[in-house]
Amino acid sequence: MDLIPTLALMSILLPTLGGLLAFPMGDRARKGVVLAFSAAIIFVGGALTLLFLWDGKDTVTIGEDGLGSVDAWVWGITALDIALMAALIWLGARSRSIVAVVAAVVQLVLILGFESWKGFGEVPVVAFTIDRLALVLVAVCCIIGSLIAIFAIQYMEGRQKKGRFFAFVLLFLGAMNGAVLSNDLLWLFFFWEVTTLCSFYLIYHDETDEAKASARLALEITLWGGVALAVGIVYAGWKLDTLELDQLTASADLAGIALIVPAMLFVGGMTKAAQVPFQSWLLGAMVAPTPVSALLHSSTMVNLGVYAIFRMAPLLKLYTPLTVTVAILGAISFAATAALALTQSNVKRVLAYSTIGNLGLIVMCVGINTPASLVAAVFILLFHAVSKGMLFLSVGVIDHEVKTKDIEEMGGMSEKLPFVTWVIVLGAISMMIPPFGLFAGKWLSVEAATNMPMLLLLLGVGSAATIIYYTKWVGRLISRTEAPPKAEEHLSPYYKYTLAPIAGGIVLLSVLTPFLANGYAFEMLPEGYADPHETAASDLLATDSYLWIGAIFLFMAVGMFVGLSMIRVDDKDRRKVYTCGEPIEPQVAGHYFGGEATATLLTDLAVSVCAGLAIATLLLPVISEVV
Amino acid sequence: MDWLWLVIATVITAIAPFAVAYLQGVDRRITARMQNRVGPPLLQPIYDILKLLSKTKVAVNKGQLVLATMYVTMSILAFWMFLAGADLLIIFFILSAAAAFYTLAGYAVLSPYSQLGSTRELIQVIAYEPVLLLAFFGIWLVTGTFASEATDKMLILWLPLTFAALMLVLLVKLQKSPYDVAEAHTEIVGGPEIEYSGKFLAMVKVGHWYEAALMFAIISLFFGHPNIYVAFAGKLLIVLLAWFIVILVDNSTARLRFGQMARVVLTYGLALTVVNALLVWAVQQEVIPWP
Amino acid sequence: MGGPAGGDPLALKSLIKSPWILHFDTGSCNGCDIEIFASLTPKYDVERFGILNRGNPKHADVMVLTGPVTKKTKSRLLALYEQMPEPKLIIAVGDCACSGSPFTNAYNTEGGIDTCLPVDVYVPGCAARPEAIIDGVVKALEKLDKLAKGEPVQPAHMRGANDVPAEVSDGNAAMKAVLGPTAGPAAVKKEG
Repeated sequence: MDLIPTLALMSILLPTLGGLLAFPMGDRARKGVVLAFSAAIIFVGGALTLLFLWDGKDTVTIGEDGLGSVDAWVWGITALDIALMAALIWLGARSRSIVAVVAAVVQLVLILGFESWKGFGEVPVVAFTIDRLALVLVAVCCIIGSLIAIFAIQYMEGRQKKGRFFAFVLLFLGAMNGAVLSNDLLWLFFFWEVTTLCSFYLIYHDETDEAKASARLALEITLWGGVALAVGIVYAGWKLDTLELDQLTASADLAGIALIVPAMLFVGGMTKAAQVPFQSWLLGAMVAPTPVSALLHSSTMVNLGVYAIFRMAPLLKLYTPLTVTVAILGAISFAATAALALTQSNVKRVLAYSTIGNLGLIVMCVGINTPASLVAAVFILLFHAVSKGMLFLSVGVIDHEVKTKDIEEMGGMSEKLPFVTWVIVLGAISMMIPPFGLFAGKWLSVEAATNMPMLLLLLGVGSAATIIYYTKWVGRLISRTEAPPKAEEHLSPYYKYTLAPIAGGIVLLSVLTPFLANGYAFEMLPEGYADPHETAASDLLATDSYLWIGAIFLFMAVGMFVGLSMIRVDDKDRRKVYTCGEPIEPQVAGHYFGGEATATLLTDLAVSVCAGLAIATLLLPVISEVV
Repeated sequence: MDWLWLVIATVITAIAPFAVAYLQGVDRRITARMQNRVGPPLLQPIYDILKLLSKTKVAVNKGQLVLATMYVTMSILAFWMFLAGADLLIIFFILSAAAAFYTLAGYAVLSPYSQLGSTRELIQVIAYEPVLLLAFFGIWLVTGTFASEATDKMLILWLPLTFAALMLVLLVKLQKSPYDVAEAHTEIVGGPEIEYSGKFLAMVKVGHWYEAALMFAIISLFFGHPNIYVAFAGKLLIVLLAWFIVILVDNSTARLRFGQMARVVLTYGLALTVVNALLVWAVQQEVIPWP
Repeated sequence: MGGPAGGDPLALKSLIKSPWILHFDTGSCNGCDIEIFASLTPKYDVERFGILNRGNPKHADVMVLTGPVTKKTKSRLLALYEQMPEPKLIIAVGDCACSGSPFTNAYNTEGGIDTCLPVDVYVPGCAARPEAIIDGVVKALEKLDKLAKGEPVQPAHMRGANDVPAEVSDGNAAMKAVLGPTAGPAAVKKEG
């Protein structure tokens, strides 16, 4: 049992060490370091997961005695925090952004002021907590994150400043684990801002004008999110006299102005998760190298935002208008970004909109705040992280080999890059089609949304749009002339052996969905929620569902087996396509529902509605105090 | 899990295509008579399938055939699961999966008609899916569950507007004018099915029949009665009524453009289902008095 | 050799019940084409034979051709023929299609369908009446019936050894076999 806390702490420290080591090294040595540390991190993540599951306990806490040298931790984090905020001020100044500088200064003032009032170096009762929710995120970060780092070794060949790149990637993994495991809100804040710093430098990496502008925008928006976070934390520490997450969420009598804590943390989470109206930074961040998009902007960092909102679920539940507003915001994000993805032909932007949409779905589920919806949120979180990471990596391979990010130029990719095409087909199918995990999450979320029926309209439009833009893209990839495929492409092993395990992981996790639900997710709900086994949610995921999901898998497997093995198209059966007999090679363009003008209109509409609602969430605590 | 019922469901799934084929034959006869001509024999669709099965194999590439197989698999699965009593929402997602595979099958060949047809099929999807979802929600409101087991409640009395909206969806799904946009037969020659022939065209047609069977099964949910014989007769009647309405509309209207189709189905369909849901909610909350 | 000679009896029997046509105009004045469309209308109603007008060779069984095959349409015609799966029939409708008249020796036409493809049924007339077209269709179905029963029929006819087309599409050995050196001489027999 002592192993679990040690592994958890190692998941924070090991990547940090790796990052620091990777920075000054030469190329070859750095490759070895990154590979070694990635392997180690995967091992740590996997071992932690297995041990935790085997142990069977709901939560493992690391208090004072589990930390080793308490002083090192406490004083280290305090000092680093102040240094970090100073660094962020400097970064804002260097990017010539008044907005960012002001935000960083406000953060510094708030935190310094609070700590000097409270007393520096306060030791938390429970420093780190490993529970089922945190474990999901740590596992994804360690395993998928490390695979992405390995992928990046090949991807970044020939690019400049690799030392800085890998340093920040590994540092980020450590910070992400730290943020998710933290129970002390100030430590959470520290790790949160470390991820902001990493995100800045990783978006900034190519140092083109576009990259600099996007990094600046990301800094501005996420720093103000950090301000919201700081306000919430300081209020909790000042008025509610607690800085620890478990104590905070256990308090069942938060009311009135004290609700500003969950509201502020919600808004902070929204900026991190790039929800509408804060979505522009994520779209801009797509100029970063593709492993960055996969790591930060789909699999891990944006999940930090929804993680914070998830933690606030019990508190949001205390005031119904607040939780309803959260749900509506999430649903509008989902529907709006799904519609916007229809208008885009740049595949990374399509995937970015899809990410924001799925995160919006998670936020909506948290807002609905029933046992079934929280289970749905976790499902979507897990499966989206894995599938989207894989999709981004595949897009990176296409970008590298064929030098294009435009869907219109990706026709016939199944001839040039068959392995990658199959991976993308699997990834896209796993995003929307039964029996994969995201389908289970969406299904649960629709069932849960019957509690708030006005959301069903947005859900319906959003899921229909999701099917359209993925099918459009996959259709483009597989459309080809009659010529049989050429010889297998020679993909670098770094690409093959990172994409293949993730693909296999998606299938494995999807097959295990009923077990994940019953055995894992149901046990994960915080205090104050009905036991899912007693509610209607259990009907959905009871023993019956094993058979349904099994039946679907079986049918699909049989269909695919029959199709792939028993169907042959010999040369003598092959014919040309029908072009009225004309000897032409058809060239077809895709349909982009409306183009730039529609996209701008829709964005403006969604941003204004959601900005209003976000302001409403901040005003609701005040209103509940007065009313 | 009631194993007997599963066996019954499998048997019904096996004979369903023949029933739908007969209904299609009736459709062509009635259409012919409406157009003041004789029309083909009632079993014509079966003859068509038999003929298609005996043609030699001709195809463009293997991918289209594999995807068509997946489409048919998902159609059969959706229908079987409906009979076996699965959650309506799972069936909704499997239907959308089937539509996605059908579209991909059309995209897999680089033929202008096929690609256009697939794009239009996607536009159809965005037109009817939200309406279908809200229709299922209406059913949930009245019966309290998403399970597809037949209920004793006479849903058509509770949900007449939703039934009308489902008529719109039925027209789209069955590729009937004015919404037969994807397989717009004289416009884009055959849409996604154009590069299929022989056995595989027969297979795709059977896939369509299973989808039609599923839609009819959903329509049949709208009649319920405690007495099993009355219920069976009523369900049959309501399906035939729906079928007749579809034939009538098919023969009296011209095809809409795809943008018009999406707009009409979405606006009217959503309006009808939302209003009906609100009315049902109002009656249940006793805001509106109802005997 | 072209047409469903010696095809599987069940295939032929089901083809009798559901012959789907592909109508193609190889350069006619559209007179015969209009008559073909007329026979699909309620007044003449060939749909009672199960005939459907598919626009697409991969769906069709019977190719209904008009026009004297201008030199430009020849390659398109052959491409469409190649895309049709077996068993298939060809009906030549109108005088132009049958023998090319009055354009037989023109500089820009091949002179009738049977210079390029083996024709099963000839329907003469200028323009051929719908009744004649329907009669031709019936004769085609009768031919199929006889073939299915194994009775002797007149084979599909093709003339014009000197008109082997250069643009045969690749990858179709069966087609090449069809268009290889054919029997030649001039006696044009009209069926029907």
